[in-house]
Amino acid sequence: MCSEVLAIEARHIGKRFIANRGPWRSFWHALRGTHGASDGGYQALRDVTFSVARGETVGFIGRNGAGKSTLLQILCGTLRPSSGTIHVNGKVAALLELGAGFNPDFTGRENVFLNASLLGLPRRQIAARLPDIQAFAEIGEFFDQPVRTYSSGMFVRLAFAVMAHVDADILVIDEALAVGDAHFTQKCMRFLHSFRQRGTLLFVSHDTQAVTGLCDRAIWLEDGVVREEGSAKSVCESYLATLFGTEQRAAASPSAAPAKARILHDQRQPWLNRSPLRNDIELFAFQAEATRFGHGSASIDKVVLLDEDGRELSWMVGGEPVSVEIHATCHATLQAPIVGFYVKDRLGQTLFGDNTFLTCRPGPARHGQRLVARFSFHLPYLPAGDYSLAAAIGDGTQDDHVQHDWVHDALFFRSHSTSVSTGLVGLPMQRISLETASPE
Amino acid sequence: MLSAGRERVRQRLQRVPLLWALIRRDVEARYRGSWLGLGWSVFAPLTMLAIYTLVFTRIMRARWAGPAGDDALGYPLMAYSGMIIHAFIAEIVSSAPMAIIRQGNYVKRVVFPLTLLPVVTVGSASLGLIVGLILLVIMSAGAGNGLHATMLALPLALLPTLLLGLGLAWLLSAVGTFVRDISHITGFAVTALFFASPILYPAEAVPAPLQSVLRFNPLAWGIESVRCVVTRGVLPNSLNWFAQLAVCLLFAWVSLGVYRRVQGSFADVL
Repeated sequence: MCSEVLAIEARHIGKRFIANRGPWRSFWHALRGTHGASDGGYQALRDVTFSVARGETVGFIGRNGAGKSTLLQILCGTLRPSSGTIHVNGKVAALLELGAGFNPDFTGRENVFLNASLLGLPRRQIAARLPDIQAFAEIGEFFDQPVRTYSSGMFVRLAFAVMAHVDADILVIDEALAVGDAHFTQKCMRFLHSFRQRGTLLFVSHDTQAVTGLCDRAIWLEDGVVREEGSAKSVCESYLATLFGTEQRAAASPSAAPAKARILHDQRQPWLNRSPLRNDIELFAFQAEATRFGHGSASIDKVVLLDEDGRELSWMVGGEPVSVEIHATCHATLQAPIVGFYVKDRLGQTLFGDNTFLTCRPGPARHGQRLVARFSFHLPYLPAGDYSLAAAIGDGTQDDHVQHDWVHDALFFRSHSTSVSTGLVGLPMQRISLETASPE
Repeated sequence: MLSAGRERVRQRLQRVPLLWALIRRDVEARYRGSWLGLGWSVFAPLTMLAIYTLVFTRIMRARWAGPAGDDALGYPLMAYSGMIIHAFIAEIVSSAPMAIIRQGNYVKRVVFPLTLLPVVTVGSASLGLIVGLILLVIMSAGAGNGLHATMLALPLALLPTLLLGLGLAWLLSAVGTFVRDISHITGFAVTALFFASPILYPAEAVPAPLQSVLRFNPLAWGIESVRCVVTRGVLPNSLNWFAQLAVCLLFAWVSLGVYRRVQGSFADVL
């Protein structure tokens, strides 16, 4: 049957919440199966029809109150639609809001058992996966503490860890990821990227960057109806266009035009650096225990960022010259060592990076030898947010090499304020001018 | 058709460990953080039993007006067997209306086999029932009644009461989730039930016109069965037992039906 290739098929879904109907009446309506069918109340969803094929990644975007969460709850089966039908093929695991079904009085470990068994995992299997779940969550001794003592970040860590280990066919992820720190968000993104290879993923966000980065297709909900459906990129673009269109109308004062627009001359840098628009970027220390993989014939000992004079940086400024220095040690002979790095934003999108392959080929490196790779460049302006730097050492050519050590999140840095006007990064411009050209 | 049925049975069986875990957690949650822990579930009824015995035999010098009430411990023994059954039903009646509301997370955030939640209430109430019955058996044997072979039939004799408890749990939690007044009503309904059931007095002591009304009190059925089986060493009248079983089974089945119909709307009202 055709429904076998579909993971989700929703037809004319409607959901109405009835406010303040007398208790006996709402019980009576529930008993008769007419709950929500009468008029009045709040119509959260109206005639929503869509389908998701197996293995597809679909993003749901829309403003707060557009009905995204209601729709997801219906998809997960925790809420019953007032009208329409929904067919879901496969096991659904969801990360909806905080504290997905956790019992606050029980420890993380007990909640893992409870949650995993709700998702249909036999006890023996849960016990076998417990170490993995514990390692993924990285909440240390809190794993055996009551969940009510958790911070919101720990909550999400645990919930995500469970969800990642229950062999779900369909994953539903709400905004919740935003609560995690950069390190964990990176890890989740890596997991989601790999999950896409085998399962169906539904991703809800009003962060259009995240949606375009992760999803093939997007559905835009507005006031409970599907406003647009199509490729993630085009839907996000029209969503943003409408969003900014309405917001600009709301704040339509002419004096709101940013001051920097007037001072676009060749030397923005010194001026910007004296203004609050300076791109201040905070650096965190090298993560020696970051997740890494590789064959191990070489290892990365240290990754640092230096300024022009070779001083190690703890704060840096977008647009200024910096160097990335990667220190590595060989544990066996590497025929053609190649060292590289790349910088990712908080969603795991690669922004830029480079390696030594094209420019430096020092020849074989012997056992015990230490290597230092240095990349000097003008740091791009980074939009506010968290970033991470991955470093790797391999052996071979750019296209065909063996990874010996790949450190996922060797460095973290956070951009606090920015002058980036558009794009994933801003480039330090050599010269910007605006002249009146004489008519030809 | 057959394989579909088998699949359903398999799915039900898969939930047994989950149910067991939930009951254990429910019981643990009650004693979590206390020093004596699970010991309270034995210590508390033991203390109460001692107090009843003292009050009934030494202070009130109460005599059981019915059969098998001649020995010194007759009154506390009879009264206690009634109290155990009442406490079991009372716990269900008073916690079932809030059972769903308290577990709002399970309703709203995960796909949960909601039919199990009231069963958990019955399960943890059963712990008190089991402890109470063990104490009763020990006391009865110690009072000179000896151990009767009929005691082995205790689980069977209490089957109608257990079904009654399940039915009440499903029905009250279904209604109570919508109508919050239920939990206020159950507070005094439980006390009223205590005096409306033959706990402190034998059913035979009730005046004839009221006795026919008392026959329809399902609590009295369980109380009578326990007294027959534990203290008198006779099996309950099998015809009565079957009739009671049929009534309780029907009640539980109807309650489950009501619960099933409304459980889909729980998320809307929580």
